[in-house]
Parts: sequence; structure tokens; C-alpha cells
Amino acid sequence: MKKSILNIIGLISISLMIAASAQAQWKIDDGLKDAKLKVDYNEDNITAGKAIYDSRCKACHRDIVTTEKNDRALPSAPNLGNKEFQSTNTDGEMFCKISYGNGGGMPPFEKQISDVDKWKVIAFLRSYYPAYKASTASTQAAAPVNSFKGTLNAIKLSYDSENNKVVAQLSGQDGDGNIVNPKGVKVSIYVKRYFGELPLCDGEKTDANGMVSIPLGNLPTDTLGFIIVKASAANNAVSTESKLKVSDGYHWKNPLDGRHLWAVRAKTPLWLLITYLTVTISVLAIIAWAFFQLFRIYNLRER
Amino acid sequence: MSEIIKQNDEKIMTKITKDLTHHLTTRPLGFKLWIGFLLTFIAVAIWAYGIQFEKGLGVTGMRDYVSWGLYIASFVFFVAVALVGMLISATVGLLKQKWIVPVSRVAEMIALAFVLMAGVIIVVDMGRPDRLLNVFIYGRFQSPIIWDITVVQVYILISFLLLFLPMLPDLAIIRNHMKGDLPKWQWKMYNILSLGWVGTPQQYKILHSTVRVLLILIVPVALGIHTVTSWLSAMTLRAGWDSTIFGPYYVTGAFVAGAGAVAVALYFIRRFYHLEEYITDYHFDKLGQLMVLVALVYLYFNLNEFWVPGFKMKTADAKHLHTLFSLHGEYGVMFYLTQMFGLILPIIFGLFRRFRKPFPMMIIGIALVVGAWFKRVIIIIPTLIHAYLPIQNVPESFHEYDPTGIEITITLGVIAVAVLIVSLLAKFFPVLPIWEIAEEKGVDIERDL
Ligand code: HEC
Repeated sequence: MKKSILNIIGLISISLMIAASAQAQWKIDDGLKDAKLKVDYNEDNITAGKAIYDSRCKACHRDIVTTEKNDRALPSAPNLGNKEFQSTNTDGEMFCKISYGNGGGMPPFEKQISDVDKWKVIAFLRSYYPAYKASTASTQAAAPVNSFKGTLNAIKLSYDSENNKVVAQLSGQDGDGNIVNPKGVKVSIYVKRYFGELPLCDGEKTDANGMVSIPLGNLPTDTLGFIIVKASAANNAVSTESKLKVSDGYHWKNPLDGRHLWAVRAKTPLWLLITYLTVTISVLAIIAWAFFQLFRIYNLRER
Repeated sequence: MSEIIKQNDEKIMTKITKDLTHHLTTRPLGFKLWIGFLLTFIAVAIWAYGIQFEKGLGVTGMRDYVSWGLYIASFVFFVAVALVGMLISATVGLLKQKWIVPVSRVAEMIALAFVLMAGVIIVVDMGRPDRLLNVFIYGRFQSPIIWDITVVQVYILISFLLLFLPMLPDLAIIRNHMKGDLPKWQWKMYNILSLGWVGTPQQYKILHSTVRVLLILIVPVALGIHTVTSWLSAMTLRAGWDSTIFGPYYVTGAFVAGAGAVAVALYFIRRFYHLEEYITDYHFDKLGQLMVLVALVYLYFNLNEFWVPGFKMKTADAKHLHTLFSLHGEYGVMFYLTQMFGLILPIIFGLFRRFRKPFPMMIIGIALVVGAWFKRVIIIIPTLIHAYLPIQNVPESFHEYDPTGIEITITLGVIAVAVLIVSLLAKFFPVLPIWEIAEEKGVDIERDL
């Protein structure tokens, strides 16, 4: 009983907090109110929009899932896949919300993201809303989702040392059972790290040879020169994980090598050792000399 | 003419010798009771140490947070008081202050006793004293602990020499003149210790030059011992220790403590050995001036030590300062009492000539010494309670430090040993340098021994 009262008090105070923050307002430009998507609603733009979403929005909005209502409690960022939001907002309204934020939890992206990119993000958001109808002009240009029709057999990873690229090679069969190099299949490649995975590409399409090659840049490797790469194609229809040797090994300077203050005794910095020994030995020498004077005094005794 | 001088000389010499060596021959009841009292104390402390030795440091109040408790605070205190040897020596050796001659031997006795106990209490602080040798076998030259051990040992040697060397002529005087007045073993001891001193010009020359070298050498070594002791804390990353002035802060603090200790010792020696003629109001007056001088410098460092971090109030420093400066802080009351009685009031009283008399100086001296001990507790322990990063999963009680009875007993016991050593040295050896005082009075000692 007590607990539920506490819960109620908690709920009330949270609502009050929300009410207080409700002063934050969305600003919608009149000219944009009924605007429609200003880029083509196609696979390429959706993919590009996903990349932007992943880097700029996902930290707050997390993964998008199609739901009836927003399934996340305010004041955290809503799930933008909820049908309520999708159905009551025009593309133009979304654009304004992203541009200006609401002065509260949602930051403005007017200057940070170009207009074209904002439309691409909206295209990506819309891809979670099956009922969405793009303008006729842009739907015409929409590309088919997968150009390759057939079955995928395998995906193989290799390292192209000449161009410093990771290469994924797909193999498969077309509808007639002929072995082919599947073209236009979306491939995602990741490098394994301690925490999370580093995406090299997400949804890159295979070329005519059924290949995707991604520049590797200057990735650190393990001490023997290996990285672990994961690749998958066509929504995990095929996937693989390989250890690729991409350099002669990562050479790091072990802070325990060499003479340092923090090293073991055998590696005392020389300046310190010399100072310590010089000072100590000289002082001890003077003391020894003083003791010797005692002896001299003793030698001068009355015999 | 020279006959008269000689006779006069002899008369003075006989009187000085008699006055300054009289206490060697007597064994008053008071002295026996005093020694008995100290020995009882020490015996109890040894029993307590037996328990600690058997059960380990768990019987103390030290835990993961406060791993330096009363023992290390007392270690710093011992080193501090021991520095008086250098303070007095430097005043004689470098500043050529003649008034300090009668004070110097008492200072060296205190220095030797306290620096010895500084070494002992470090071992007491070890849970496994049988591993003491490991410090020497595996010690790293990069560690302030090794520097500290080195410099403490060096200081013990120099203190011993500075006590012993200037005593040679006195020992010879006793050997020559007091054979009949002393028990046999005691005379034999002086005979051996006097190293066959006859007072030839050559011997005096060696003595003077050696003492001179040592008086100079002890200055950097003493600065070294207390600076390194301060580095033990200051080179550890902790709020309250993270200070660049810790070296001079410790050294000046040590001078204050040492000046206090000398005042106390001088007062009792003067009273019980009836040396009013040799240790006069003049000496206490001068000692008081010296005390005020070093205390003012110490006050200046205190100001820096607290006001500078207090102005910035970095999170951890702020917490630390709160424990000291707020009366609700764990060490607030102790802090204010210590600063008041251990520093401010002594300075104020010391400014007036009226209070630079033997008795008030003794009271001030006690306040300084006791204050110095508490100040070391305040420097060492509160800092440890507030680590930058909390240790995880420790019992609530680890956040506080309550020294146990065993710990307090052992600490007091070690202090008692230091006092015992000073008492014995002052009882069995001339406390004032006979030959130097005679020389002051114009006696040609080289001829007269
Ligand atoms: C700092 C966290 C944060 C980031 C980054 C962020 N948002 Fe938001 N967003 C929010 C919050 C919080 C809300 C809910 C605001 C409210 O309703 O008071 C919100 C609301 C929204 C809304 C309106 C939802 C509705 O129900 O009307 C949209 C659209 C939106 N965000 C899109 C984006 C996009 C696109 C990005 C990336 C370019 C993004 N957000 C980045 C926190 C964030």
C-alpha cells in the first residue's frame, strides 16, 4: 500500500516535470506544413538516411521499431517508428521538428545537417511506416530493394594489400541454378572491437563481380597484424567471420620498458641512481672519515 | 702573575666540574621512581606489541582506508623532534651564536633518542616485521621510502657523533678527577668511552675540525630527512598532501617541535641538577626568541598550506578542508585546539619577555610538543579517510579511524622509550659541555685538564 502511494507521488512529480518542460514548443514553418519529401523515396536515400540517423539521432532515439503508439516514456526521446507520430506528421512537419528542435529535449539540427540529408533521414524514418505514400514523382524513381534474384551461397572475406581494402566476395545461384556472382546485394562489414563493432560499411551493394571492397584506412591491429572482420549480406542470408592479416603487427611502446620512475629497481633512471649513490656515498664517506678521527684521537692517548 | 691566573683557573675549573658532574654520582629517589614509571609503561607496551605481533595489524584501528595511523603520525613526530639537533647545531655552527653552547648537548641527546625511535616505530607499523630485510633486498631507488630509510640511518650516525665527539674532553675530566666518587663500572665506562683523551693540542685540533665538518654536514642531512619524510606523503596523490611546500612545511614544523622539546628538557635538567647558575634566564629568553622566530615561519607555511587550496576548493580538497575547518568535521575540534595551543598562543606569549622565563617556557614547550604530535595526526590521518576514488565494497567502519587501546599503548610505549633514553643519557653523562663552558669563562683548558 505504502509503496503504491509512493509510486503515485512519483508519477505525479514526473508528470509535473513533464508539464514544466511542455513549455518547450515545436515550431512549424507555414510554407513547409504540407511539404512532401524533397528527395526520391528510394533504397539509396533510405540507406543514406540510416547512416545519418545512426550517427546523429540513435544515441537518443535508439532503434526504430514499428509500433502503434510511442512505447518509450517521456522525457526520453520517442520511438520514431510509432504509427501515431508517423500518421499525424507530414514530411514537412518532421523537417521542421528536426530543424528547430523543441527547445527542450530535442536539439535543433538546422545547421548541423544539410537540408538534403534531413530529407534523407525522413525517408529513412518513413521506411518504417508501410502506409506511407510518397509523391508520384519520387516513387517512380524508387529502386527495387534487391536487384539480385536467386539464392546466395556464401560470402568470403579477403584483404587486398595493394589498395589496403577489405574485399567481400559473394557467390550464389540464379533462378536457373547457374553459379553466378550476385550483383546489387547489400553487404554489411564490421570490424570486431573490445566494445561493440566498428562498421566499415552498412548496406553497400555488390558490383558486377559480386564484390564489395572497402578501404580500411589506418586501423590498429593486434600485435601480429590481425583484425577480425564480420560480414553479412542480404539481411543475414549469408554471413561470415574471418581473421585477416592486414599489417606486420601493431607495435606499441611498453611503458615498462626502459628506465623509469615506475619501473623495477634494475631499471632505475640513471640520473636518479647516480644522484642517489653519489650523495649517499659522499655523506657516508664523510661519516666514515669522522669515525676515523675517533681512531686518530685514540691513537694519541697517553701510553 | 701567571701563577695567579693558573690558581684562579683551577678554582673555576674545580667548581664547574663539581657542579656539572654532581648528578653522575647521585641516585635520588625521584629519579628511580621516574625510571620505574617509564619502565612499567614500556613493559605494558611490550605486552601489547606481543599481541599485535601474534595477531597482526588487525588489532589496530588501521584498515584499508587509513593504513597510516598513530604509528606513522608518531614517526613523523619523532623525526620532527629529532630535527632539533640540526636546528641548534646550525645556530652554533653556521650562525656562531655562543649562547646556545649549554643547550647543544641536550639537543643532541633528544635528537639521538627520537631519531632512534623513528626507526623503531616504522618496524612497529609493519604487520610482518620479519620481512624488514626485504626493504633492503628489494627496495627500489625510485621510492621515497628507500631515501627515507637511507637518510634516517645517516642522521642517526651523525647525531651519535655530534653527541659523542664533543663529550670526549668531559669524559676525560671525569675519568681523571672522579675515580673515587663513582661506582667502579661507571668509572670504567667513562674510561673506555673517553678514548684515552689527554687533551693534547693535536687531539683538540682533530676534535674541532671534525665537529665543524659534522655541524655543517648535519644541515643538509637534516633538511633531507624531513623533506624526504614529507615526500612520503606529498608524492602520494591525495587531497591534503598534494602540496609543493610540504618539505619546508615539515621542516619548520619540526623546528617548532624541537624548540619546545629543548625548553622542556632544559627546564627539568636545570631544576633537578641545580644548574641555575649555568642555564640562566638569559638562555630561556634566547631560546624563546628562537622559538617565536621558527613558529612565525611555520605559521606562514600553515597559511599557504590551507589558504591556497581553500581558495580553489577542488572537490577532494574541499572535503578534506571541511573535516578540519568545520567544527562538525571529524577533526575540526582537534584541528582548532592544536593550532591554538600548538602555534598561535605560543607565538603570542613568546613575544613577551615576561613569558620567556624558565617556567612559562616549560609550559609553552609542553604545548608545542603535544601540539606537534596532534598536528602530525591531523596531517596524516584525515587525508587518508578521503581518497580520490572510494574503495569498493568495504565495510562502513573502514571509512573511519578509531585507534585501538593496543595501538595507543604501543605508541605511548615508544614515546616512553624515547623519554627513557633522554633521561638515562642526561643522568649518566654531563648534560652541559664542561670544557666549552670553562673555555667560555676564560680557562685555558688545553693546559688544565
Ligand atoms: C539529445 C537527444 C536527441 C537527439 C540527438 C535527437 N533527438 Fe529527436 N527528440 C529528442 C527528444 C527528447 C524528443 C522528444 C521531445 C518532446 O516531445 O518534448 C525528440 C523528438 C523528436 C521528434 C518529434 C517526435 C514527436 O513525437 O513529435 C522528431 C521527429 C525527432 N526527435 C527526430 C530526431 C532526428 C531525426 C534526430 C537526428 C538528426 C534526433 N531527433 C536527434 C531527443 C533527441
